[in-house]
Amino acid sequence: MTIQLGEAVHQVRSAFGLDPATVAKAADLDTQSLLRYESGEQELPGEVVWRLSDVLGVPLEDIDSSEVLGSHIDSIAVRFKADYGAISPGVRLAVARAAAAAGDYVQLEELAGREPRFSSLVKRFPTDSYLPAGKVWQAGRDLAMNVRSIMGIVGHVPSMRSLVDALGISMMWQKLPNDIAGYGLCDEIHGPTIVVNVNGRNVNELIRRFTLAHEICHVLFDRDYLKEMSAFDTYDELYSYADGQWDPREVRANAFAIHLLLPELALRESWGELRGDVRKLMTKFGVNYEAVRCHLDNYRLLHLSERISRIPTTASDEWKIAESGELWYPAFDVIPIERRHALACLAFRLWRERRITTSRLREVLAVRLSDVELRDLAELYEEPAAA
Amino acid sequence: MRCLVLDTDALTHGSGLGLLPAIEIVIASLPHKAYIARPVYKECTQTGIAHHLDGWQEKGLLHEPVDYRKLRGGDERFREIFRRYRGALSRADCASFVTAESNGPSGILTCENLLSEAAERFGILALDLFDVIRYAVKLGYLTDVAAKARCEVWDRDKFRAGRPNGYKGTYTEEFEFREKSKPIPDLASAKADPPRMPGHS
Repeated sequence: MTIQLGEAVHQVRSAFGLDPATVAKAADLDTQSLLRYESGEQELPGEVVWRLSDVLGVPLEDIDSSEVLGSHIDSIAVRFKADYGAISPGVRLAVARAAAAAGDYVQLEELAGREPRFSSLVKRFPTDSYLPAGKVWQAGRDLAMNVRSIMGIVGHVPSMRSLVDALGISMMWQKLPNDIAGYGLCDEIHGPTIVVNVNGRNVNELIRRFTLAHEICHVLFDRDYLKEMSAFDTYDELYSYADGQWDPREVRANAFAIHLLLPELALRESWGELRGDVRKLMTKFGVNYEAVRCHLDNYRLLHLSERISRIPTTASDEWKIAESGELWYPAFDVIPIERRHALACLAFRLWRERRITTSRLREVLAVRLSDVELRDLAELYEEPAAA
Repeated sequence: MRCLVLDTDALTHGSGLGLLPAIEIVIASLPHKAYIARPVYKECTQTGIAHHLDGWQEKGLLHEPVDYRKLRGGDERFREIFRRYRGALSRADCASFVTAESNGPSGILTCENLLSEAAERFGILALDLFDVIRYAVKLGYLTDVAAKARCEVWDRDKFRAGRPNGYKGTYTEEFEFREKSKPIPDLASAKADPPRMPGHS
């Protein structure tokens, strides 16, 4: 069924729980104009359609049927289902921005002739609904051991960033409220994507490793159950995997994360070998204090660890290097954070190969740079080597 | 060729090479002047060359910026082009094509190889900055020596922005090659319909 653009804007905005003033401000419009566009009283100019597409994360200019619009809406709005009222408009807009960037990345990958990451992931890792009461954490452990085996991981995970790449998951950064650790997107339109908050405790490499491990579980095994899940993972909910304490999918993701980073056998062996030195255990496996502590609790090794007072999580240089590689230099700040990393690298590569136009490059980077400035920036970008 | 649609980068690079007056002359010779799609106009504002467009508009060289959505079938045609070149062309690029197509036999002035190829598939004449130089020479605005001087940057630097795709290496070689392979459209019809601009007879 065909749909009018104004009506489409209204549907997207309502489904995302955004008020007209918030959307109008983000799209540099006045609220009354937005309402007139939505009601069909005034025709939407092309460039306003594009601005609204960018703000809402839905390519409105490419949508001509309510069915297609519905699939776009669902793939983003599903993130807001479980705790609808608790999510601020700023976070909703951030999710839309992430979705837009993720969609652009999928499009450029297609142009680059890469295999679609979503269908590859679906083939490799079917979703898993196995959540047996009282044994949820064991399910997480088993999934982690399975992933370790598939990915050929022996001992510690040398770099979570590389593992995320190797799994075909794209990693994106965002500035979100301090309590949020991250969230995932995983569907055909946006591809498997993990969004990591740069604010809060993720600044620490060891905590970021755990966040990534936790989100991997959601992307690989919970992608069909997003409606039932909390939209965002907060730092408070990470680490614990005692049954009954939290949402079972979160418990499973926590158990998955810690077992991915530090499997039971390695924990037992190293714990004895290292004579109960938590600090050495953290450094050896690249795991943060809270996660190690929970792990020891759950395997009844607490009688040793409880004598140790809280140890601040400090990443050694080895882990800092293993998890680095991000583009934090001020020169890159001109590009919005969601687009600054993998997406920008691929866009610059395709531009150098003359497979996208300069105008498209500007669009993908969401920048207003002159040609000379673009060329200067291009010199700083090199696509990271394949994992 | 009834009108010429301008691409942002041709204007940017043309500006860098001092070719804007030559572009202006070409536009002035067209029966229907030049169109510019609204998003392209916006891009020019963002990249700092919009004042040229404003100046041209004041002289009656440019039609009002056109919104592709206001053209008949504009939305549908935009989607067709957008889907065909998904990911490779920007929304502004697609809008330029819709604008060009809706104006009968049109040209597009662009330095983008990809855009030229796409334009030719849609039956739109793709012109680059070297074509502008050829026009300017034929119209007597540039002498051969001056034209040659303009091309020196391309002769020297293979990667210079705005360098025409497949440039032969020197102005003379390229000029001869183009005269044989890509005759520029006859401007006689353009001369029969002189531009109405202040200061021009």
